[in-house]
Amino acid sequence: MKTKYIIFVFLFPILIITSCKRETDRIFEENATARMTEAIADAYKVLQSSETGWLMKYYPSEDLEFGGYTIFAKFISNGQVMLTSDINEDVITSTYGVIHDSGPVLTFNGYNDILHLFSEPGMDNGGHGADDTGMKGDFEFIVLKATADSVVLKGKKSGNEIVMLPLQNDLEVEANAFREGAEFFNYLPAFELENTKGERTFLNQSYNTLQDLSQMGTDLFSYRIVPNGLEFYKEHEVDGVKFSSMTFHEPTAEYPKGYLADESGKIKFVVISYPLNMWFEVNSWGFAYSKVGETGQYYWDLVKSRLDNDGLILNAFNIGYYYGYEALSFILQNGVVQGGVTYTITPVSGSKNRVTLAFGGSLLNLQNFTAAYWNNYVLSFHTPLNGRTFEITAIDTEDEPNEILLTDVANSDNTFQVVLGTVLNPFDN
Amino acid sequence: MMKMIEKINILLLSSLLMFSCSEDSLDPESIFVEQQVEKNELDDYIERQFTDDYNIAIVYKFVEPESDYDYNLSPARYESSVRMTKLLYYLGIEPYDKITGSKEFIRSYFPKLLNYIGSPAYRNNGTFVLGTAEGGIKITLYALNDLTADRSTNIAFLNRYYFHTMHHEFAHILHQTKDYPSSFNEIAGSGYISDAWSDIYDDVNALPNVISDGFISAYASKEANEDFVEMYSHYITMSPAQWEARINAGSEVGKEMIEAKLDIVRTYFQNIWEINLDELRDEILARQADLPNFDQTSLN
Repeated sequence: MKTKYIIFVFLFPILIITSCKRETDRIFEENATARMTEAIADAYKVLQSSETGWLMKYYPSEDLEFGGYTIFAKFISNGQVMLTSDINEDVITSTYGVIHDSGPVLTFNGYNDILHLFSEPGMDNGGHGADDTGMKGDFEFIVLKATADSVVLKGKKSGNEIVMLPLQNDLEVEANAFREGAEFFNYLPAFELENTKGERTFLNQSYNTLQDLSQMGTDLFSYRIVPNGLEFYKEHEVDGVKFSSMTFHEPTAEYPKGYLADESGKIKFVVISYPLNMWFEVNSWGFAYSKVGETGQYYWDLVKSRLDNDGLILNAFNIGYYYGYEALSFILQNGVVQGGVTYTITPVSGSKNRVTLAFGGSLLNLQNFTAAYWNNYVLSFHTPLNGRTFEITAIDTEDEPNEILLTDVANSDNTFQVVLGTVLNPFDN
Repeated sequence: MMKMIEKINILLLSSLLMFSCSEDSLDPESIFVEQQVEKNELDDYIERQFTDDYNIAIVYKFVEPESDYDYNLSPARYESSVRMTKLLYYLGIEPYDKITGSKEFIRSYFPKLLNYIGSPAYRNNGTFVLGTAEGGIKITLYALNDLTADRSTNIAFLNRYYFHTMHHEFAHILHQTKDYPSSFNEIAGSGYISDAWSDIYDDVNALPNVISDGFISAYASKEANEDFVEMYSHYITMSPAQWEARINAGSEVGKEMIEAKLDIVRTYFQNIWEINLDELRDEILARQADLPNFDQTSLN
């Protein structure tokens, strides 16, 4: 009993002292919820504080393969936001909120065409990206920093850092400057990267990205188009020169189509003429019987006999650009029947002169061109074209030629020599 | 004496320990501080028509924790949400009020949370989910953004995309609350094929096979519970002529099986819930027919 008593006597002070001893001091004055509530209220206040609105440097997808876009946002109240962008002139209002989630989260929780284009499934966004995931863009962002001079967000899905800056001028004026910049840039045919030694490599363009695909492991230049140049998502380095933006320079004798260059002027994106495959894609080319190779003639003869049987006349047969589509197009019956079918022309990535052709599946009826014309008469024309890859050779001049030769890479007898524009009465020429 | 001291010690010990921690009192401020977000017309309408009367909440703004992380989803458009909310009341809630004579039925049994999603939930094989229900509490309706002005009176579209789902899920709650007679299960018996339903049946391209085996839809062949609610949701949203045409699309045997099941469904709803299926159907059909005159966009 005595031992027990002694134990108690000694135990008391220890128990009393240790029971409430704090091991560490508090790091924050307030508890977590109070701080979160304050952060949310603060974010709301900052977002609405810019009366002209914000410029948002938006990049969908973790892999940045769709490039970046500039979105303009004006937070009108603590529930409504107005959005527009450099690729869509509409100004659309929808709901937003700053919510308590993994940190304060800015969520664009009501559908808005401007932003949700990037998060829609590919099935519903016009076929950009995979059917289920689309462009993998975020519409929920963790607010990392919110001050009057910048808001830094982090996409919840992509993890991309999205920066918002307050606009200096009127939102519409700023947005227009970016739209004009985009229009100008998108009009430039193609680019080559020029390093410090003056060596050039072709850059493959896909959405707002450029990349040298001739070798493995090259940098993906994921950019936004800004007035007078490009701004990249991250800093890049070529030959030891670091840069995160490029400015457009007017044409010179050495660079007849102009160029973009980093601040030091050592690294350039040189504007070049269309490579042959892109030149082929953006124009319309006329076929003629005499310029069709051995393989194709068999199918042309089939079409000819079917047309002759029903007394029909073919006045023209073209491939390429057709009223906003890529198509095989036809003029029959001296112009009474005109139309075609969509045809996908895809320049082979990383190549300047190869192109893949594929039936697109839609009928284009300009005038009286019903499916019967396609199915019953001209269908066989496309057998030697469909699903094949052709190598393009310039006939007259290497730079934006008027006449080219298409050679099937899998069958050298399958060739077509086509001319820019239309060949009248292809069976007679 | 020693015993006494020991007791005192124990008492003292516990009291000391208790007092020594008294400085950590509860924070009088609640940790749940709600940010006041300005309410719009739809918020007011939902509160008035759904929350006050039926204790139903509608989440029309995208809330990630309420959504399904397996899919890539977009929020619903405001305009589509307005249309859906008004249609839901008109085609989904009011008919029950009218047939049962009070708001009590919906208030007691209808799911308490409706969640709107703008995009369909696409699987990577190209198929998509139109709606889901969770534990009798929540119904998620997808593809809200397909509900546009020109589709707003297309009854086949509305039923296929939204209302069929809604009645289907609601019926699950009802039979989970009070079960239907097991004689229903015996009609198709071993015909239920679980997850193979989508491989074996196709009610869009090969309806006769489905009907001939005694099922009103392909999904009904999954299991008895699905069969039961598919019978219900098809019956009350189809006109008598459409129903007849559908059950006559296959063999006579199949038709008889469906009619036998319908008898059980009809009796169950009459006896358990005092709902006359035909009256309910007439009410829904009359409302569907009057859709062109129904204002889907004003929220007064």
